[in-house]
Amino acid sequence: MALVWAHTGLAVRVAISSGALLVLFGLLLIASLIREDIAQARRAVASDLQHELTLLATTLIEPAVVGDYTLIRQMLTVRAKHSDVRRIAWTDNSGHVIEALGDEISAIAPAWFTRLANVPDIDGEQKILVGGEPYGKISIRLTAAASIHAIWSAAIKRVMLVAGGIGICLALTSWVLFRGLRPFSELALAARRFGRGEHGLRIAVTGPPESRSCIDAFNRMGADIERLFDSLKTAESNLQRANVELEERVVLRTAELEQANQGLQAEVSERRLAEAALRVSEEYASRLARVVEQASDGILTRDMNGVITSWNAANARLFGFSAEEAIHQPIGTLHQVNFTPEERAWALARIRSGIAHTFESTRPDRDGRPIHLHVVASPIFDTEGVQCGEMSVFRDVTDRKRVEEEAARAREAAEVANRSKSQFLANMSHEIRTPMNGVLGMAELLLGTELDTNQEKFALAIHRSGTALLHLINDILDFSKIEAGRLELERLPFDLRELVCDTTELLHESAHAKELPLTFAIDEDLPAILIGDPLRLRQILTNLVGNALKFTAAGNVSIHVSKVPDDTLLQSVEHGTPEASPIGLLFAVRDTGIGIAAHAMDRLFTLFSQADGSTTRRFGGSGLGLAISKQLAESMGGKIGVESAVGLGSNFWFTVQMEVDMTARAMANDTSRRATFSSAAMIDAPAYQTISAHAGRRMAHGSSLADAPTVTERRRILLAEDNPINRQIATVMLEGFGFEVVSAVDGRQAVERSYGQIFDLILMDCQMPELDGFEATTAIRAREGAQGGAAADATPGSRVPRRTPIIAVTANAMQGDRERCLEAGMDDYLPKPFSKKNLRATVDRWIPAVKEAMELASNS
Amino acid sequence: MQSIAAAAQTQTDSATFGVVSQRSPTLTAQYWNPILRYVADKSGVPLTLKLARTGPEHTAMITRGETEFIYSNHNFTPDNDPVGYRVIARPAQAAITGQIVVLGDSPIAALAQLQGKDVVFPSRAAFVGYYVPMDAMLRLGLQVSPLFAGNQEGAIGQLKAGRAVAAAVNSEVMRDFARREGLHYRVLWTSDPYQNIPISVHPRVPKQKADAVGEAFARMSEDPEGSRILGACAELIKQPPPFGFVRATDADYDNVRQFHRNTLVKGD
Repeated sequence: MALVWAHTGLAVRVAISSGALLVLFGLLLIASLIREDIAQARRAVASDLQHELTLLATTLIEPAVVGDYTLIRQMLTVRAKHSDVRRIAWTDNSGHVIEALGDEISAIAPAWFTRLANVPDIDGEQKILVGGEPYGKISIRLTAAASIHAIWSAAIKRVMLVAGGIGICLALTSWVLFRGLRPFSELALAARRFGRGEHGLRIAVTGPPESRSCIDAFNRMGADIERLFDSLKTAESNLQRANVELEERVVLRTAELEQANQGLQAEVSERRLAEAALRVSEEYASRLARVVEQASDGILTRDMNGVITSWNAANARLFGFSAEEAIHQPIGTLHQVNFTPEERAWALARIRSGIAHTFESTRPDRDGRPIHLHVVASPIFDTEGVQCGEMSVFRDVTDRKRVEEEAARAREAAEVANRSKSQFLANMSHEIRTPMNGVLGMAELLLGTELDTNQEKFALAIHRSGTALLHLINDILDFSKIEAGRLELERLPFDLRELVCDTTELLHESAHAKELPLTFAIDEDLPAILIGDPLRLRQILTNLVGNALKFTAAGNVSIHVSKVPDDTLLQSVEHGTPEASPIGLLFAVRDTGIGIAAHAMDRLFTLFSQADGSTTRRFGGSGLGLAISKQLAESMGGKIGVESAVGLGSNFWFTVQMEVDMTARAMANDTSRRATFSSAAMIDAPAYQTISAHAGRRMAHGSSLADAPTVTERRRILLAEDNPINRQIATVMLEGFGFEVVSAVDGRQAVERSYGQIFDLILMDCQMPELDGFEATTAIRAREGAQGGAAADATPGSRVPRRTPIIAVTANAMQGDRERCLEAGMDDYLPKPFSKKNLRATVDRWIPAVKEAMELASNS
Repeated sequence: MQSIAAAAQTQTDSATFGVVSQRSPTLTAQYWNPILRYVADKSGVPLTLKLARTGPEHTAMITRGETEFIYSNHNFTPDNDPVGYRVIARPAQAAITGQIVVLGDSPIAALAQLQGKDVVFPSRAAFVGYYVPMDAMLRLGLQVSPLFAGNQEGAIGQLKAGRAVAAAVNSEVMRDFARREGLHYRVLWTSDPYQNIPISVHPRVPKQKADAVGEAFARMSEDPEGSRILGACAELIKQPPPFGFVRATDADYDNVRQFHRNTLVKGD
């Protein structure tokens, strides 16, 4: 086949190929048209069916309604004449069918074409409903046979038309090609002759432009070749001469190149050295870049305008912005943070300051989540030493911040809980004081009766235990006040020596019981009268001395008071006023007791701590005393401390700041003489005063109270107290003093009983049913006011009280309770639990006869 | 056609309901079929609508007593009265009148001008559409050339198309047609009022069945569903209210029978 094609001329080839193409495209065109016609026929038959059904339904309604079946049959027969109707029928409700069949269509198209077209008959039905009532249905079968025949006829015509067109086209093409190719045959013949050496041969120019152009080119080529042969001989001789010259020039150039090559080799070795140095430098820079890029902290650099110039991977992780997004952006734009002009100015000033800064900041990440950052911003300098920007290192401290905030919240919660606990303790101590008054009072009364030895021992045990419990409660109360921030210091003038003397007297019983000498010494240069809170000062001293006695089995306990030698022992140094100048006091309590180990000393002044756990078991105590003392000393501007050696003893010291009452100095000097110590012999060492054991014993047993003289003139006291035990205690004590006691069980009864009777004194419990002590006092004062008695102040010592003194007796021992009593119109305040001695001292202040009688008795 | 009618009659419970041709059969069927379906449901008596192609055919149906129920007045003629159809209900509308009308732009202003002119009637069987107006014209000595259109609206349609100069019609049908089709017309003459076409029952129908059908017709307007159907059907032919039917007796149509006995008009 390929051989035949190789020998086939161009004209035949063109005719065959173009003829085949034309036939192919013609057939495709005809097939496409037939396909379109068939689709059209399908659509048409479906459309015709719908049209026929609608038309018939409209026309058949009326005969159907009146039951005119003859008319229906006629109408169906007429419609069946249409060429596309195969069958048409009317079926009424009872199933009666009227049918008409269409004429058979004579076949034009061959069966294969009809099968290929595949346009099936189509059936349709339409029900006839009038007023919702069915009358029957129309059924139609339409056929597309007529359309298929029409399509076939059209296809035949198209095939014939296309075949004729192709034939004419091929004939015309072949003729033109045969005519046009003939000059090329002549050209081939001439070319063969020219090859054999007929260089003068030329061809006549004929035929179409393409062949004329080829013949013309052949003729010109022949002429050129002829000229070429002539010049070839001349060129050959020239070539031989040029070759000789060229060889000479090559030798010369080779020598020059060798010289140049040597120079190049030297240059290459220099360059290699430089490249090696550059590689080292680049490796170093690359390593640095990797370090920065792989650093766990975010690192960025900015130019002098705050625009980001580099951005490492940690920054991308931290803020969510890639380096591409961040570089060339100001940091504010990147974070979408609207910095104020001041913030921007600060940031630019920081960058341009040339100084490293460390600060903390909060910036949002890409999603707007705030990140707490620790930032170290350092200036960057160029090789000339000129600042060219700033490098910032960001460390995410969000977790640390959160931990800190949680810790702060926890601390705050703990403090709140602590304050609540303190308040609770304060309330509890109040509730305990009331029954304690009963216990201690009853024990004291019991001791005042005739008792055998065992009974007295037991009663004393009750009293001591109660007193110890009371001290504990007082400690707890003090602690709670300090904790709750409610401790307020008094500012009263007091005699320092009297205070120290009283304290030692108070504790002398303990000292005597252990046969320990208890001494004190006060430096002579200390002023006698000071201004401060004597109660709290006494409390610290009592605590330290009490501890010293407790932990000392043999030896002695001594107290020394002096000026503070060094301001570092004070919290802060106060500045004086014209009326009062500050003074720092140093109190030292030295014992020869068990001593304290060095490691335990740090814990001593913390709450609930003792030197070791066994201390509590051996010596008792709550562990609050030193902590409270520390707080009190510090609140008075001082400090507290201890020096100790195990087995040798301890030296507890504390400092306080007091004021010297300049106006009372003279009086103080006078009062100082009452202190029972001698200062004349003190030069280097303080002289100590020993309290007599006898005096201590009398005080401790309270026998001086029990044996006090009774009042000669019967004075009347109204006692308002709702608690029957406490009422009984007070009544017995007061009657023991020689008073006539009238009782009231509540505030209302107190008001009623005070009406129309004269009392020298009213003892008023504060918390009572009906009317409390405050309300009862207000009522009594109002009535006195109405009677004109309120104008005169009740002062201690008034013989004829126009205004009856009222003393509050209450278990409310908190700060401010005293002021509240005075505001309500009361004159004095006796906290519960009270001792016989306290009660008597208070009553004495207001009924001088008692006082006088006592003084008289003691003198005699 | 005869065989179909016979087949309908042989059904045990079903009854046929003939309706006088006032409108085209299609419109008549659209109007009556929903009503008959409702009445059939309520009364328990299946009703099949039976229409004749023309008025004379309808008259012939009555003469043959072909349908159990009729909505017609052709039964009051002396020829059909003996068949024995008995009135059980009538439409709730007021009594009907016959009218002789011309188009609104017609030059004819009085009956006398109709002498010798073409006048169209629904059919020779139409009571207020033929008997009453023709009787009136005969009593005035007028001779007109009568044309027959088959039904009431057919007559009006021929007047509208100019086939006749005047038409004799049921005033109610005329009014409804004019309202529906927007036709302007003028009334030359109006008859005395006669009760509208009643619903009657053939004597072969048991009384219980007849009463059930009559009651269903009479109560239709009181029932929401019935009232809705009546409204929808009335809208079809633009019939004004009141809709529905009331119970009636033969006595309500004595004047119609009286007319037929004394009329100068001779029926076919």
